[in-house]
Amino acid sequence: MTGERDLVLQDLFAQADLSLEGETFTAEVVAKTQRRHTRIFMALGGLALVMIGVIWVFSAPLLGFAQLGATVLTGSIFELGTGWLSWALSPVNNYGSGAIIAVKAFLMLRKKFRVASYIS
Amino acid sequence: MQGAQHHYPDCPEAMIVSIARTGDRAAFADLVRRQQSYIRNLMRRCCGDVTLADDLTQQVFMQVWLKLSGLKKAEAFRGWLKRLAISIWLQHVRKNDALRGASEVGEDEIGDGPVSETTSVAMDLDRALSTLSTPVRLCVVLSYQVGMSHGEIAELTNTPLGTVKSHIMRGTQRLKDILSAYASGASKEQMS
Repeated sequence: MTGERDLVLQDLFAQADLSLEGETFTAEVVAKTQRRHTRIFMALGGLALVMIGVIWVFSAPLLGFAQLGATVLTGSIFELGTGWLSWALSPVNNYGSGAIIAVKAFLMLRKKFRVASYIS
Repeated sequence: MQGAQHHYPDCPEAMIVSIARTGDRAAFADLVRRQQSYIRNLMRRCCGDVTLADDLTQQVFMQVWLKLSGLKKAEAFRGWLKRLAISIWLQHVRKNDALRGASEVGEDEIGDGPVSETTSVAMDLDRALSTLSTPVRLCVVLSYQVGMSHGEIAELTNTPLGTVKSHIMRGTQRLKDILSAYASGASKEQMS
């Protein structure tokens, strides 16, 4: 391990590692978490109120939309008949699963390429 | 429960992590108190700016607070924290394109002389590190400050091992050139 590093520089890095006073910093971080907690709580409360209002007013069209969504997302991507293969692939052989897998793959690829393009 | 909080500083870190995972704010505060110095120093080496380093460290601990419940092994906390800190730094670099393309600064641009005895080692080191391009600086800091092997850095940053080695070799040489006064001081000490 140490063979990979210059000893003088390693010593300088160790010397530069200051012991920093932590009470003020800790208090700031904890206060920030509390503020964030309050903000999230209030935002969720507000969102819930808005959602209830929207559902109240648009209940009929929303129900129709939900039914349409359920019908589309559970539709099979490939017609595999009624055999065991159809049964085995049924969890992934629908538009909903396809969409989730595609989004997940996109996010993983984006992360991989972002890190790679930054560092090289 | 209130009384138990007074004993947190004496408890093993893994135990405090386990308690903090349940949402205990006092345990979380104790974790911040224990690790803040290490992460702030790491960020200072990465960015060379004390205020920015503290801001980024705060972001790191905010993420710790939000994601700690997802940490499976309490014993793995330190490694997880390190990776989180480096990830926050990389995110910051990505967001600030000005840094992304930063080219190495010439030695003559550093100021009056490479090192002076009146300034602290930390300041001299940060100043020398600021002359490196961001990828080189990151590899050097991960190697010397965090103590990671070349292989670990390559894996973490998703970079070919050869590139990491080359970054560290170049960075080390440059730092040695700039901080040569310390090297000669060390060799004088060895002679005497």
